[in-house]
Amino acid sequence: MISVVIADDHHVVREGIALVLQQEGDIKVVGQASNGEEAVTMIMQLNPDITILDISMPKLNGIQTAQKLIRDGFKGKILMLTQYDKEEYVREAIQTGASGYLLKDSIKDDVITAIRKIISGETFFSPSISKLLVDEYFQQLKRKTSSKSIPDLTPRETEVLQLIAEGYSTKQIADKLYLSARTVDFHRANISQKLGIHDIAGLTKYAIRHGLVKI
Amino acid sequence: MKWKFRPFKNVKVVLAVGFGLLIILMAISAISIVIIASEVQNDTALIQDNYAQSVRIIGHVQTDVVYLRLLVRDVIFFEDAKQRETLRSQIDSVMNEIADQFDKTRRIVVQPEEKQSYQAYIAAFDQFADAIHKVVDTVEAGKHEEAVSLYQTTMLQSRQRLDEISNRLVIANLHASAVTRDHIDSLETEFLQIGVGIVALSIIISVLIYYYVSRTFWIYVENIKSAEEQKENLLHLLQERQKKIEQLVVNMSSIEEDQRKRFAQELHDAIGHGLTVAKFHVDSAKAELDRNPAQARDHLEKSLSTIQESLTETKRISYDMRPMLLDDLGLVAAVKQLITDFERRTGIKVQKDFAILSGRLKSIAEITIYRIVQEAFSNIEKHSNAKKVLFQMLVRDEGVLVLSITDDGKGFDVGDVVMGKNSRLGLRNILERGELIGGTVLIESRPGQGCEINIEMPIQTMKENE
Repeated sequence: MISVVIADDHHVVREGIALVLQQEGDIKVVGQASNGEEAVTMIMQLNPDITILDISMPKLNGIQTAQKLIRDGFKGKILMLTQYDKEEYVREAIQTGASGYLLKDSIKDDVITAIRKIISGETFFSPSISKLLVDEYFQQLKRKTSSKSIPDLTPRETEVLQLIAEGYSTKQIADKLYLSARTVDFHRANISQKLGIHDIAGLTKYAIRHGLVKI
Repeated sequence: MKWKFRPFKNVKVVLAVGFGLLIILMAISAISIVIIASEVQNDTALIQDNYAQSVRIIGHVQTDVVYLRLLVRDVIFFEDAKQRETLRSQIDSVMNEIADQFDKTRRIVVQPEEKQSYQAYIAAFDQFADAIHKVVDTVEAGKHEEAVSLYQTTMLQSRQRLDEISNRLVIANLHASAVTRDHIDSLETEFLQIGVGIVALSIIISVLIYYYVSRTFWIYVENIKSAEEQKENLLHLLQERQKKIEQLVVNMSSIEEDQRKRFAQELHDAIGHGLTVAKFHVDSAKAELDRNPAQARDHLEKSLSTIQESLTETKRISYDMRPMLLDDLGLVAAVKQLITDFERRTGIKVQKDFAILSGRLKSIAEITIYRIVQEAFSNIEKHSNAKKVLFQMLVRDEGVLVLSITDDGKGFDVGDVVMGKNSRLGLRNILERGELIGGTVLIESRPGQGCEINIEMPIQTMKENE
């Protein structure tokens, strides 16, 4: 028998899930919570095999609830439930330690599969989420191949740094780049922050060392 | 602005010191004048009394000397003893008179050289007197011839000496008065010098006082003027700000109204329309259920897909109105998602650089920043034709959150588009929202040169109060 606790602030959603799970002989909904705090108390008490957490909940949201559960020593599985197919939710959920991520759209079709997969030690993501994850993975692969000459600095910042190193004043740089002096100061402050160098001599040295300026 | 200018106190001190000096100078000059005047008076008295008197004494003595000589000559020529007796007593009284005169000189004369001269004069007279007595005694002794010769030699000789000395004395007296006059002259010069000096000093002090006081008041007046100007500038700034706020309120409410309008439209289009269609299909399915189950199933399938579409639309509209990510995971996650969605939707590549923001910002700050980024990306999507976007979020050590969004699109004239008559509500929104949370928004663009939007915001004021 697989014990399940469902936490969602929408009564209709909780009942809907319970209705679907009821039809399975070996799955039993042992508790329902309507907010994060209630869920934590209930889950720590009932210690279910799997808990289904809605991400957008009052008091503690799903992510915070999961974090608290894991901190408190909950050993069961966590399935995140959400309205939105947004990568940021998925990333955060995975980092928190959730084993699956289910979209509310596909509860009826997927919730049983998700529970069974997770209980057997696998992970589960709704199909549209899987597609997002694969996309992002490829994006990252592609990004790794392109490299910049000076890490961290944008082309504009590189340009400004080069002119600083060549001895131009803020006003002169502004004129050269068709920018306002305040924008040049903005970039200069960013450069100093990024490189941790706050004086012109140091910036010039840095520019020379990285081949931005020829001596 | 701290401004410690106390003109009146300083001026008081300067006036007190300056006028004090002037009074002291005047007192000094008055005293000097009195002293000099009394000196001059003394000297004049000396000349008038002293010297005149001594000259008078000498004149007197010399007259008496002449008289004595005549008396002695009479003594020699008169044979009658009784007559001689009378002459002799006359001689004695003249002598006594002369002695009195000499006594007077003792009182008048103080200078040692004068004293010497007078002593010499008195000694010469004593010799003369001796000679007279000798002549008279010789006559008395009946030695007439001897007396005449004594009269002619010793007596006249000593008389001649007396004359010489008296002449010298008069000359010496004249000389002394000349010296005194020189002294008076020198006193006059001194007096003039002191006078000129005091006048010059007084003028200098007066000029300095005038200079200081007028300068102080000039500065004071200038300060009042500049304070006045500053006040006016501040007022002007305040008025401008007021106008801006009013404009902002108008813009915000017009934005709100636009959003409501859009929301109503979308609600009607996506959900209302979807539900109508779905209802039509369900109704049809219900009607066909017994007669034509295949047709009914087809209708149900169609209603299901319509409902799914409406559902997706509803989610989109709801997220657009309030991005739940912002509440659930915070600004960085929400902005990351925004950019990911943007990339997916437009195919424009975004190079991202995110700061780690420790802790959450105030809800109003988070949504404002989110809306700024949303507006910027929406502008890029709608107007720029950009191929690449660079997004950066940085935190500077001094507690400034920095946003920078740069695209390589077709750009625009900033003056015209942000502030001018072709102003785009979107860009103005970015400026106004940035100002609303105490930030500085810098927009740079030129036609054909892309656009960069740089924003600096103080983190402290945006932090949740703990």
